Amino acid sequence: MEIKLQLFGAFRKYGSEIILEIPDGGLVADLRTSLEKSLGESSSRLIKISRFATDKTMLDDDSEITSNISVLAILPPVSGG
Amino acid sequence: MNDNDNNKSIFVGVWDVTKKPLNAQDALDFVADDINGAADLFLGAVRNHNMGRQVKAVSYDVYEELAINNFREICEEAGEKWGTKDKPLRFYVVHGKGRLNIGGLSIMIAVGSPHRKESFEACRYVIEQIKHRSPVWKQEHYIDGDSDWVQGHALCQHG
Repeated sequence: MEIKLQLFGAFRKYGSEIILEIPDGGLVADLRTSLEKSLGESSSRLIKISRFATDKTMLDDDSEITSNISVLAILPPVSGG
Repeated sequence: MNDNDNNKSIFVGVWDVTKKPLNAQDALDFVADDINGAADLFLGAVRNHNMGRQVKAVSYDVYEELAINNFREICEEAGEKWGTKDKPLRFYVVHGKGRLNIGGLSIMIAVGSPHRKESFEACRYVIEQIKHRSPVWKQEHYIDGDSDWVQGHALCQHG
């Protein structure tokens, strides 16, 4: 299945979004792996310390990406205020 | 963007502060109530230095939909800690997005409560939680022409 991943903060250098492919019924962890392959080793550390989210809540790596989800975001470490 | 139809004691928003600057009076007016004898106001501003580097401006990137939900959740937590059902605290939280020069206001938080202790503590709680949990990112622009994203706080997973 195809996931549109929105990019923020330090990931903005890759654009505002990226399309990734994961297996049907895949987990957030699969999306993380797919992103690492897509962006390459130079972003590996940043991807490891980032978290995935919908527009309503943050997700853990063992969360299943159900078929009704087509858009997610990756959140690097935050620095608001 | 704001989402404030359902709970009139909490106002949360994110907008481009280069077009609509934050206004402290709006925040104080919102948290005022006949039962409230106190209001606490926190303002965050862009300063001219960070980690030994001279800063000339900061750009704020925000995941707006999630930030709105997150700000509301944090206010509700503070309301449960320091408010009561018959005397709920009132909250006004707006985070800016866009590029701000030195002195520009990036965040405004106001809390109204019957007595001062609750508004001080709830306001402190809200800003600290936003700094650690909310989907907002700062990109600093330095006087030497370089720019960099602030390293920030990693969002922890449960369990």
